[in-house]
Amino acid sequence: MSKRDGFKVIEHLSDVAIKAYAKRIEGLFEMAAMGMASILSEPDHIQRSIKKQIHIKREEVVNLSLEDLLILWLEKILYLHESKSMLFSDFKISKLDLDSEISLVSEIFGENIDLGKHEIHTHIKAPTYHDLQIIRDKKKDKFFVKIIFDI
Amino acid sequence: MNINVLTRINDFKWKIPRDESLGMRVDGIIFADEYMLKKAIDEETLQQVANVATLPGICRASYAMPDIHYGYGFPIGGVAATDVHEGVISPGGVGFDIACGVRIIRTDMELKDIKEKIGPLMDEMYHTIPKGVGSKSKIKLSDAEMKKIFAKGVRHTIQSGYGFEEDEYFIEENGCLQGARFADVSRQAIDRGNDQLGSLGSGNHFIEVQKVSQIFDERAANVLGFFEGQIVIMIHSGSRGLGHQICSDYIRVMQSATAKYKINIPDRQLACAPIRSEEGQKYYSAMACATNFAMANRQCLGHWVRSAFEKIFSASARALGMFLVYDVSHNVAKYEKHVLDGRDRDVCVHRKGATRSFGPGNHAIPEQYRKIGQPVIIPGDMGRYSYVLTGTAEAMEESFGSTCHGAGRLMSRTKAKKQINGYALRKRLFDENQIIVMAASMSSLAEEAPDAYKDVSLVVNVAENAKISKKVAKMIPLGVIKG
Repeated sequence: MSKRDGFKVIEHLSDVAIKAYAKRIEGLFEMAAMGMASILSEPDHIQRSIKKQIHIKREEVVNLSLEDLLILWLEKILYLHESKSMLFSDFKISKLDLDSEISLVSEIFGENIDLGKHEIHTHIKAPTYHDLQIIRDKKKDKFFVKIIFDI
Repeated sequence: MNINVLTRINDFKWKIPRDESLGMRVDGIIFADEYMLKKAIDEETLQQVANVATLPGICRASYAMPDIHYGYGFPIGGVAATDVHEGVISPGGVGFDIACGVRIIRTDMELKDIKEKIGPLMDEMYHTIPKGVGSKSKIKLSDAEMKKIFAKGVRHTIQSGYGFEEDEYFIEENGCLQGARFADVSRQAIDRGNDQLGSLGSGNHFIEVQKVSQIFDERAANVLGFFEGQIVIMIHSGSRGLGHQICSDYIRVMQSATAKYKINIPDRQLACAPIRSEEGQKYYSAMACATNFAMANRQCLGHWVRSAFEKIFSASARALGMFLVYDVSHNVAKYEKHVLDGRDRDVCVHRKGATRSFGPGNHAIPEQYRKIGQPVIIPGDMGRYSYVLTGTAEAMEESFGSTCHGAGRLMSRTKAKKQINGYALRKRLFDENQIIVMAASMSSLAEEAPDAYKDVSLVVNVAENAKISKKVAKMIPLGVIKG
């Protein structure tokens, strides 16, 4: 992650969206996940006590696009959050390569939900493909993406 | 799409004429009055109605109900019927919360019978019914039990002791949508849902104790067992994480299918496959699993509501007259027969934020209600009112037997949270309207403030004026449980 990477949560009538930006594509994915974490809860209040690994095989990625890989990765994080009752606050991608048999390798860190300690803002049904496009701005040397979440 | 493309058919019905250059195969039809057009419909929403009109096999028109607003792919309030032989099925035409819907239970009680005990009653329900973000049910389902719920729907829940034998006759599809196969649901979807049966969830889902405040149609009200001053209970919930994951899984499947079958779509969230293809059949099956789970979920919630009344009033739910009036979903796709150009056609009707509204005489309606039309339940906001309507013969001609589903948002959740304080809102609703509000989260409560929604009576009036449903009764909230 570079110091210039970040995200912001933006308004949407029925739901909620984030805009993420980063110098590298891996950073963009990590910022998108941080954005999702901040919609769910306060990442600052979540300990990094449990580590989970998420690997995505190339055969899982439809149309072999970065957008599909991003949505699939966010869905897998959301699945762990909901089925294992966990919150995550730190996301590290060590490999991202659509040409490789394993297209994404990541470690995510967090802890079990403790309602006495964590305030959960909202439930997320899913990240959507709505107007989804990863843009590379060569002049600014940055990647951008806007993702709308159905909540 | 510029709003000037709309042509007026009558005061409550507007047309986006078919434009071949946009790939539209049929017209767009919007049920709205001038106020709604100005207030709720923007250029992007119109574009979504036009986009749905491009789907292969779409019949007659791409419809938008009076509570239309901007969604993903389909607008919320969108209805599309596609030919079963030549058309496509799209998970975007159902949405993430598959078979989200509403049920209403009547009682023999009036306000005077519950006035002294409404506090303890709400407390009992609040503490016995799982609600809120990440809420877990009291029931953890094994795969074998999940399989039975998918296959048998509400009947399995009733056989396990949740509810009255006759409840299933008062649920759309008798509580079981056919064609559900366990094998078409992913492990992830089952894991997200197996501890959520009988949990309310969050967002706009609720349980309300209401009072019937006005009867519009005496005959229909008599048939449904409603009378002025009566206490009723309304439950709004869906298929929880199971449905969300099934939708996500199949939007992905459909992304490849759209390319495989060379279907041109203007928006990726409209990804689809021919109904007859393997992908189309599997999606229908998985969606049917989620639908049966959603109906079973509301059945469990209804059972615990009855149990709370039994405990507080020391009488059986039957003695209190707590019978299920009806249960209907508003996010679903179903095979139905409709008359098109004078002949019966098999179509798949997608209703996304729209309610089935079958007219009198239809055999899909419980026999007891057949002469008045199908009950349609329209939840409003927690400070004002909700409605029960009936379906009409005109709806069969005008909208594939469909009508509105709710009020629709006016204010974004973020803005509502900034402007409204949950604690202050709860106090105001009690001080000004004597409504007891209990919520798992005060920030979620602020998002659901009455001010954040349109007045549902405006929506319902357009639906009645457009003749796609008819008002029977209005209910006002007395006690509200929010997720």
